Amino acid sequence: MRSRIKWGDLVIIAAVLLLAAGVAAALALGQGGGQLYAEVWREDTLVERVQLTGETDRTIDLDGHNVIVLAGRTARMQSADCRDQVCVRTGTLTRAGQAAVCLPNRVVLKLVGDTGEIDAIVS
Amino acid sequence: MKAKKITLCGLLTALAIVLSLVERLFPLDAVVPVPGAKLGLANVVTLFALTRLTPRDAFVVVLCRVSISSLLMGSVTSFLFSLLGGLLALAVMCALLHVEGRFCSLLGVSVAGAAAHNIGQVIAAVVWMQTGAVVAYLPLLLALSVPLGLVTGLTCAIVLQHMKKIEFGA
Ligand SMILES: [Zn+2]
Repeated sequence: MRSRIKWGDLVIIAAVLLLAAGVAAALALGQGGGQLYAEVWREDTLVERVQLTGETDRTIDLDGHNVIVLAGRTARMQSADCRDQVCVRTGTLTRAGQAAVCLPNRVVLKLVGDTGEIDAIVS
Repeated sequence: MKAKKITLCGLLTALAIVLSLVERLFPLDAVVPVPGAKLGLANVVTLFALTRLTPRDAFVVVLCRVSISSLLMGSVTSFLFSLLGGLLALAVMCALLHVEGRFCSLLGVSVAGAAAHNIGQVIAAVVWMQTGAVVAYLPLLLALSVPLGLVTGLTCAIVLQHMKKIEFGA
């Protein structure tokens, strides 16, 4: 049978498992530098700054005008009473540098990383 | 001979599509929240096609399987994931089959193919979803590819063994 185990099979299996462990280790190491924060700005002032982790589950209600949902490492404008609804239609933010802007209410929801670098590049 | 080959290709494509359907019974999406992620059961067909037919035929079977199964039940994302996963598995298994028998058995070829399938899926997900976050699921998918590859490799070896008997008898 062509399924009789040869030493190469063990090498292949070991290589796959090592790769899995390697990726897992690299991810664990890289986690420290990968912090993500959601910032809520209202009329040019920072009203909330929340660190997003896998367990984040929070709703921020700005007096009923804008409702922001933070879930895991994502953030979105759940609802808004503005006329254009542009902020809501922006959808879910997942990466540093992304933002949902509500011009009528002068509310900005944005994701920032550890450093302001991405913001700097964007602007 | 040509008709026989085309028939076999068609049969294998049909079998691969059925396996893709069976695969949907295991909601891998629940463990790995990447829409369209698959275990890669259909790789057993790719492996079989590679051992019985030419790499070109196997390529055609993968292409047909991915296109048809995506049309039947998939989305653009599942097409992309399956295509990249399927082709990467094909390439890796094709390369390893050259040293099969000396360096490794069908089991090793199949495990490497399953791993390549998952790497391909994750690459497609990174490109499609534009976030490296999905790489986080790669370790789990790679670990899963070892038992899955062993099972598909063994299946393929058993089928080939039976076919040898049939051809000998006929
Ligand atoms: Zn708005």
